[in-house]
Amino acid sequence: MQLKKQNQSMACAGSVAKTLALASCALLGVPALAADAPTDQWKVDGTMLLYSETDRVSAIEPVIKASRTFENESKLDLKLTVDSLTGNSHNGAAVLGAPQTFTSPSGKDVYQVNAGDVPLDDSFKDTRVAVSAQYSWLLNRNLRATSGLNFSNEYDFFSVGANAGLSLDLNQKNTTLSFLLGLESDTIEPVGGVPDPLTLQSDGLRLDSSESRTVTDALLGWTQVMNRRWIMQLNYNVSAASGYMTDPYKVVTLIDELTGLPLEAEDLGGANIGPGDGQVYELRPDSRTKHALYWENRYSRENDDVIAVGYRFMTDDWGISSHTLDLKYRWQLENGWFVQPHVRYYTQTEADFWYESLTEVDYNAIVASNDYASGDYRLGKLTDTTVGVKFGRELANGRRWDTRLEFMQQSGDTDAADVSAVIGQVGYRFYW
Amino acid sequence: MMMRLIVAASCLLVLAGCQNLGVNPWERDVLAREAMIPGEADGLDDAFDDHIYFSKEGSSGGRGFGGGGCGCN
Repeated sequence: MQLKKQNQSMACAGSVAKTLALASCALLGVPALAADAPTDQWKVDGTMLLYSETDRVSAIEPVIKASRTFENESKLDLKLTVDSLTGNSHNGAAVLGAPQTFTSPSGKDVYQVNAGDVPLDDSFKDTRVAVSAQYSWLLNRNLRATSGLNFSNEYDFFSVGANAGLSLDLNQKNTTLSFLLGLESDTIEPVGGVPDPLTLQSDGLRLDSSESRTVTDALLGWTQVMNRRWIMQLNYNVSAASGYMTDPYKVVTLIDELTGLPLEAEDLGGANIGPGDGQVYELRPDSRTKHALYWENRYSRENDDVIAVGYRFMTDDWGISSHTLDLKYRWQLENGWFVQPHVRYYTQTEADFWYESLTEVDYNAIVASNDYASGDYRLGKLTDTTVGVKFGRELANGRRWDTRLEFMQQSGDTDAADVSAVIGQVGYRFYW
Repeated sequence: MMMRLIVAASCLLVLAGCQNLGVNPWERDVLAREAMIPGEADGLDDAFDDHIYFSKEGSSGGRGFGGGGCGCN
């Protein structure tokens, strides 16, 4: 009996170390192996995401991730993502009671938007390919190191990033402290060149052919086992970006302060391409520092159902503050089946330089004071609600399939922010 | 300087308090379940969601970071 208990204890201790290593990896955003993963096989997750907005963007995103834990408890994670997007994207202009005219991203074509319609650019089409590799290894019994690389490429965007970090187990591995540092370098090559900011789109003035930015991230994490059924994670993430942060395809509409209708470019000394062509390219600051605090709790009930509650507070030096609440309840059913409803609520304040539209006086003041302006609804006041459900089944030999269906609704201070989207996903896991 | 001392003292107090939390090694059965591991419980969902909301909202980060970003226009 004593021997049996001792063996049980040793087996559990092994799974504890594995569990906490997993927890720390997850904390670092590193793909990790399941607690019961065999060490001589690859765990392969294949997932297809379908994302579709009403009258706007659609995306198909297949992802394959392969993970393996080796005998010395080092881990390797590889991930390939292909992201194919198409559809209509809001071009930043205001929704007004008169027709408006814009140029395409390349500046070669002209399109018009009817009075009352959300100004959408229908030439949005891109394919993103991203690959990442992450390796982690034990430095000693309680200290694990991790390092990774990632690349992402689109038609007009290229990104390369590297990260490195440490996680330290304390208090019989009930406490894990983590630190991760990441560096990312992005190159942006807008179609037709980089627009001259705050100049009339109808004039089509371009500067260089490409721009760049760098992003430095640091993440401090604390994972704590509270009791036998409750684990908590608290992260602090600071992110400092420097360089080109402007969206080269977005404009801000200039309006008449009395009528509220769009101004004409020719009346402002610009080229005439059609009615309501008083649109200027947007401009954002060339630096941004974000602070995010993330708190997650997972509690397992006596019947093995799991309640997960996540909350994030984010604030930045652009004037945006946001709250995100994420709730999941996992019903553990018989024969490996599970059902998991999900609710997410998000709210943000607007950036200091967000304007639904600008009067000529406001525009001249911004130009004179070297200030910034953007009409991108994603920088305005925003409230998002997502509801959905995921269900699936655990099968023999670690195999699993799952599927989820969710609905997202965005709303804000402008009609351009009224976006409805459906998120569908199917996934399958196997060991190889 | 005083603020740094207060922060450092608070961290030490929190870590000292953590010594009274947690479980013994043989009490990990529930915590070892994948559904109880932050970041791992929902498979690739977190990465998908982070990417979707990064491209549709003005916020990002917290749960993790990086991963190649995107133009997201």
